Amino acid sequence: MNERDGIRLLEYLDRRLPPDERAEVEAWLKRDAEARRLVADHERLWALLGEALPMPDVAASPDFRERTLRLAEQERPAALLPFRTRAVALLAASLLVVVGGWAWWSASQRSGLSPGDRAVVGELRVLENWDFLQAHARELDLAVKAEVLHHLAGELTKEVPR
Amino acid sequence: MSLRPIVALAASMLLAGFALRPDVRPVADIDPVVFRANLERWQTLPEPEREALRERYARFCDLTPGEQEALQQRADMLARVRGKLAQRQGHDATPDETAAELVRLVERARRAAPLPPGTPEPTDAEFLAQMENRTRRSVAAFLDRLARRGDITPQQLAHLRAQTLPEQLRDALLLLKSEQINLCSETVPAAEADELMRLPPLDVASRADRLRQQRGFLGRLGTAVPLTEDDRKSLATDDGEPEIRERLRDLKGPDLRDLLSRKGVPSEQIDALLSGPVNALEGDLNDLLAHSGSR
Repeated sequence: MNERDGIRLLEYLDRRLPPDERAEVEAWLKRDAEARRLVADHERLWALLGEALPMPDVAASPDFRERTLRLAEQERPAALLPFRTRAVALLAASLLVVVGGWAWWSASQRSGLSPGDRAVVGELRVLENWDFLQAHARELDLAVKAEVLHHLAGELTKEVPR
Repeated sequence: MSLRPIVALAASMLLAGFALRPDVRPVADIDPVVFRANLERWQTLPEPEREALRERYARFCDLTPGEQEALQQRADMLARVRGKLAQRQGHDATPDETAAELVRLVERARRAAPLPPGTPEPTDAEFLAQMENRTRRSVAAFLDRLARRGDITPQQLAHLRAQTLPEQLRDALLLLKSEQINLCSETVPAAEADELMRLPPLDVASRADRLRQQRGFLGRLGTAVPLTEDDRKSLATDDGEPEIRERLRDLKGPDLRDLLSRKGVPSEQIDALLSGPVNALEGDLNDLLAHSGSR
């Protein structure tokens, strides 16, 4: 008996052969004593296994699928917020980004200040009065010092007044 | 979950965005209020004027930090003079009126400068050098006093001393502002103290002087040595010279001596305190009262 015959006998025992092949195997078993012995050995072994490890009754109840899905749903991590709130929050966040971005963009468009002009604007008080500041530098410096001295001359021991 | 927090967050972010106004974000070290006023002015200028200002800015950038600071201090002083003139005259001052006012200020400073009897009137150059010298000494004494009190570290003192005079003036005035607000904080309500924070240093110092005129010494010393009605009348009739702290010291000298004696200060030290620099008196006596009160 070769390997292919052995496999065919196992398929016969497992009732997986179509009827015509099954009839052929039965005819072969009538003829071949070794094949009959092999089939008998296998049937005896499977019977022993069946007694030691009886097949559990696993017939599914009618609502098995429904209950399984429900259990699976319960096992899933719970969402922090209800779906509706999450949707509204997402919408609000998107709106915020759009409005904020628009405000930023339109504001920068309105002012149109380049980094260079920003620096010029920062010093506008000096730059617009440039000529006056140059022409009256002495008087302005003295006025600054006089004002500082008004508040800080008291740091020194009193000098002789005129 | 309520939608209210989301709406509130969105609204507050938008408000913050508009309040911060990214388009008017000032450059570093510029008062945001000044920057916004400058920006509004800039937006009214025609392009040729803007171009001229850009060229001037290039020249400004070529100056040393000390020269830049000096220009900024002149510009600040010009703004103060114009503001006072506008308040006094009821209209914006012309360049001629501003120039005349500056001459008047210089003349007043010349009259106020100490001059030993018999000394001839200084020339313009001498007066200029004298003012420069007195300013340097006053600023140095102020910084030394702050260092002695531990208000600035020896490292900060060394850094300040190494600066040019305009830079020293800028930093000394900021320290003066901080000291005056600190002294005022025990006298004025919180809202007024907040308002002082927003003012330029010289305005804060002037405001503190007005407070002294109304309430006497600032801080704990003012509570320990309060003004009487007669004191107030006497201070109100003066013309602002000499400086208010000096007038207060002269007026309340006996009370100060009595207070110091009660605190156990030796008479020689009392003499030294009362005849020493008047600006140190208020701070030193406030420190003394704070320490004796905490014991």
